Amino acid sequence: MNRATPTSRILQSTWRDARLVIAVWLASCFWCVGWAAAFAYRPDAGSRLIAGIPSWVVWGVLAPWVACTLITVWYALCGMEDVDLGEDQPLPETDPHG
Amino acid sequence: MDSLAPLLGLVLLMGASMAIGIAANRATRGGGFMKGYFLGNRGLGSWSMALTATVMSGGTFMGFPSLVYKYGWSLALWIASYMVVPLCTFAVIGKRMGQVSRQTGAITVPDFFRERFGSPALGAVSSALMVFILTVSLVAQFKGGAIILQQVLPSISGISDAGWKINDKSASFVYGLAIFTLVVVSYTVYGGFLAAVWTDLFQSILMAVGVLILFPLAMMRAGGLEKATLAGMQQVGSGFAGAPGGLPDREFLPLGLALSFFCMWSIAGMGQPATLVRLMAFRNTQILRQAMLLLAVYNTLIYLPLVFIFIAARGIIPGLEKSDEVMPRLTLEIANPWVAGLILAAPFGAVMATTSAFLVQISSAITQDLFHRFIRPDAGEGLLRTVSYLGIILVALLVGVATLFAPEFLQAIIVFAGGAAACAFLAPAVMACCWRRSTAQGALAAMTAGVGVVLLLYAAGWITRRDPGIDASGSWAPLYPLQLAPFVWGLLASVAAGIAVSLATPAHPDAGRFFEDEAEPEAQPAPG
Repeated sequence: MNRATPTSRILQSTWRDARLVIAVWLASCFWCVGWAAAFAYRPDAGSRLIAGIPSWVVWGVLAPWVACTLITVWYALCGMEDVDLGEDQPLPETDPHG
Repeated sequence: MDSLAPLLGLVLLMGASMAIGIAANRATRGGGFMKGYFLGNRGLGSWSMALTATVMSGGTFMGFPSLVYKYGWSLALWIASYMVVPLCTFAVIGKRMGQVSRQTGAITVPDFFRERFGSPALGAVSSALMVFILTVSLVAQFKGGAIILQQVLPSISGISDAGWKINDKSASFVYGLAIFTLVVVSYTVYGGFLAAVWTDLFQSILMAVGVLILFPLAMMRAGGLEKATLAGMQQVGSGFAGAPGGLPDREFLPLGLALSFFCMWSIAGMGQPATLVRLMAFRNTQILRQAMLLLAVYNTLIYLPLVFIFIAARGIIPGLEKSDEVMPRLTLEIANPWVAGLILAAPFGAVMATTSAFLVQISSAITQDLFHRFIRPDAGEGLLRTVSYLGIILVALLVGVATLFAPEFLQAIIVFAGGAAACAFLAPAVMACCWRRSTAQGALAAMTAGVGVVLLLYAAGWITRRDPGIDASGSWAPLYPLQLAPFVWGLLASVAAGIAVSLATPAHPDAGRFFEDEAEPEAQPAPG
């Protein structure tokens, strides 16, 4: 029978995952919103099209989307650690007063 | 006969959903009614996790296309944070939710909070909030389902020519609503959580197929994206290709709102009750990783093509008055009727899947967290089963009536309910999983402060009835302090209240069991 991974290791692993997510989230947010602030909020935003798509969408949304998808695929395949979450415990008896 | 083809497509989909409900009912027998019906015996696989745990709904296939059609390319920025949704949804608290829910034996989200913090009051408040928020959210799904059936039904004599109306809703809309309610209630009542998940999975795949068929058809009919973009600019102005987007008299997405929605989809998705309960239900962490990968690919295949398709719709059906109808109208316009039936099954499936998932969650809150816990703790399985079925039926009827009075934009309801749910549950869930010093009082404060701020900003907007001239909500618009969405203020309030009240109240004496390693059993002395 498998033994559950110690809680301290699961917490450590969760923190490691969370750090990556925070870094990717901040980078993608700055990239998308920053790019849009610089190039989308002006009257000529639609004047340059790439394959029919406004260029601010190509560089401000599609490019970071591809980057994030590749990072997610990599992390799912090689970066994220597997842990054993343990056995399911029974729910305590129903008691409205705890 | 051709005109009945789309209807037949939907009938087939409804039949398949019923069959899935029956299969799910059989699959959950033997594991105990409550855990089987409400949690699928904690056995979800990667496909089910990936394609059912996130916020795809009637909004994705009905509300979102409507906004793309109306406001143009700014919707690409509005939806951009879906690029990080797989990471945010599964990698931040997935492992800890899975572990703590196993340690506590929690079956529902309120169970999780109550057992983790040892507070029945917290469980009751989270149940009540969940029932309220999900019920509001269901109005959008019911409206979406009724709109699709309305588009398909008029070809049947006796329905299209019926002249009566209820609150400006035509007879065909009301018939569509009634059929939708009947079907979705039937298979949800019968199959429970697993039926919701399985139909969600089946319909998610159908959605991908629908989008992939619609994409080339729309591009061909519009003569390419460039022509469609130029047509949109000609019809509504240069704002169609840029931000803030859309019409000259309305700033759909000012920069503050663009930032708000980047936070909204990626962060709010983590705090949805439907997501949290799935994070309690996955089989193991390999499943979590595979789900992350699948969802990353799926989101890319769905959301970007949806923007392209409904930009193209501007060139194909210009001047559509009710833009919430653009998905079924475009499909019927460009596809062979038989293919249209298949494609229309996609948004209809999205709506049905979300509806059944929400109905099960509402039923679990009523049955397990309120009735069983507070009214009849000694209730047997038969009575609990009856209460859960009645709960689903009553809520569905209530929502059906409320749908007759729904606002113009589906997406306005989804943004409100999604934001309120995240502001209620996200901070308490993260505190429960990752912060040992958090207390029941802190979690309660986080829950009530978050949802309170969101309700306050919406109530202020509704009372003043002042259209702020931004976003698409119109008379449903909330106040936007500093042009930031209510979700942002609600989440900030929730986090601040959670931290402050936790630090001001005594530490939870039993928290150690969720944060410390179990003691190794002492070695037995060797005999003799």
